[in-house]
Amino acid sequence: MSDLLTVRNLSVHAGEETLVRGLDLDLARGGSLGIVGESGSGKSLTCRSVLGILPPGLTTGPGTSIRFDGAELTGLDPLEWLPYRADRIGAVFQDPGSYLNPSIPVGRQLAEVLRVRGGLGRRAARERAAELLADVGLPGRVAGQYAHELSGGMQQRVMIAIAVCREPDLLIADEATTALDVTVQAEVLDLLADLRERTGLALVLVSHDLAVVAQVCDEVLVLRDGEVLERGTPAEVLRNPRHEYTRTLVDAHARFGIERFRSHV
Amino acid sequence: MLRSLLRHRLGAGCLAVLALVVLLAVFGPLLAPYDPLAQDGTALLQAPSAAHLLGTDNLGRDVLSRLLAGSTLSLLAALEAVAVGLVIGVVPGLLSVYLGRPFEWVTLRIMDAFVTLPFLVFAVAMTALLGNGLTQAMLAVGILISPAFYRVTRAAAFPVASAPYVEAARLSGAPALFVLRRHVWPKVAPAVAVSTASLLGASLVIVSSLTFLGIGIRPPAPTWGGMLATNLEYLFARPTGPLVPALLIIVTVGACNGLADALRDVTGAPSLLSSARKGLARV
Repeated sequence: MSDLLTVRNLSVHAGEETLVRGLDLDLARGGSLGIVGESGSGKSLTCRSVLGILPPGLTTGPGTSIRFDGAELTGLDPLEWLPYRADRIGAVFQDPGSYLNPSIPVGRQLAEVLRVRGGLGRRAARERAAELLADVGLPGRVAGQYAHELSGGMQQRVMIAIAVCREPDLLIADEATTALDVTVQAEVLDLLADLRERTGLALVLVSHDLAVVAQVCDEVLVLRDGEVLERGTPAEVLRNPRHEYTRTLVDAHARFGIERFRSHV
Repeated sequence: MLRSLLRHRLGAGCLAVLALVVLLAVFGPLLAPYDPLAQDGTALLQAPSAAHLLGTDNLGRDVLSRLLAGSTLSLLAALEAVAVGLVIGVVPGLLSVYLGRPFEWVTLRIMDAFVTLPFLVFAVAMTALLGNGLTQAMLAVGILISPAFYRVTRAAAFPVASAPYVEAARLSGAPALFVLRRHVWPKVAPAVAVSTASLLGASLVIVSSLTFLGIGIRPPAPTWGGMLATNLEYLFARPTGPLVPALLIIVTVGACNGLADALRDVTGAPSLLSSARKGLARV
């Protein structure tokens, strides 16, 4: 399998300060990669670098290389970024509600993307939007509803439908399930796994929760303070964590997770 | 929006009053019983009678005919001022949150400079520079009310422009105009509508004050403010003279302000009444 995304020596700087240091990652076409770490470990900055949307004031270092499907993404100007960001790489974030316009029904917002980026006509866009919403497991009535009428899980499904509507090669889910309660979280993760299987989408899943990532991903990166501490399959990382920090993460799960509670009952 | 406005008692009332005034302004000259400029030396300063429903002025001109003709001029002038203010206030206001720092800084400074100019003096200066005419005077007034529009637009557009859904639309390649029209404008429009209504009232007052002082108008042409002035000069001969033009001004301006209030109630947009009052205070 050819590599879809290759990141070499990614560093992110805020003036003098270095926030991400020498990060490498590879993702095969259709593969899935999980990135785990605590707040401020550089997970989101990594995603944002790949999308070319670092917050103002932050820059990638001179040695950084981000190759997507054979093309170098670093150093592109905003216009050149567009086909990647808008069409070939989809993204969903935490807090889906704030990414939806509160005064436009969600179905129309999805259709809007299809019209502006996909060049579909009004009618075709509406029909395709209905299909896409059905694909992410939403009932037909949702298209006419407003964001505030939907639950967080449903909002995130709408966001996923929007993110995949241009049939991207890569979907980045940055803490996409963090704000959702556990059952909904599981449903959204299932949906992501299912989409991957159906469409051959590659997935980067970012979470602070090792268990979430382990469920879905083939490979896991553990980040701390902008550096990769550990990488491997979820089984490797979970069974014999090489690094002290990873061990604490896994232990925390063993100590406070539901498995322990169950084994006691 | 119009439907809920009609259900609002104050809003419906004010709309009706304004509609009546507009009808007067449009069809008034046709209804006028006399030529508003025709002088009748035999009937000076007459009290209301069957021949002259509202009496005559110092040159024997029919007051009703002059009022009807004056409505057109006064309303057109106020509308022109507001239109000028809308264009040079709202457009940069919208763009200032969108085009980035340098543009924002420049427009903010220009608007700040406008705010420092006193209405009447600026209008007098403009008419002195560009020639004495209502259009020139209204251009001046339009320029001076534009900061109100600019600030209202900015205040309403600012939180929307930085909302994640707007940023996301922009980053995923929606054209700037599309984003402004689709996502930003609907949030800004109610606030702009409210300020349009209340600034319309404010500009009517300004128009009246200017024409009262004889700025922006050549003497024979009738306006509400100008009639107020000539009537005031002959207050002792005809004490009721200023009553009708003054009432017309008060009622129309009141209806504009009431409409602004109603619009605010209906749309939930922030009020500009306070800043309109400031505008009045400066006049």
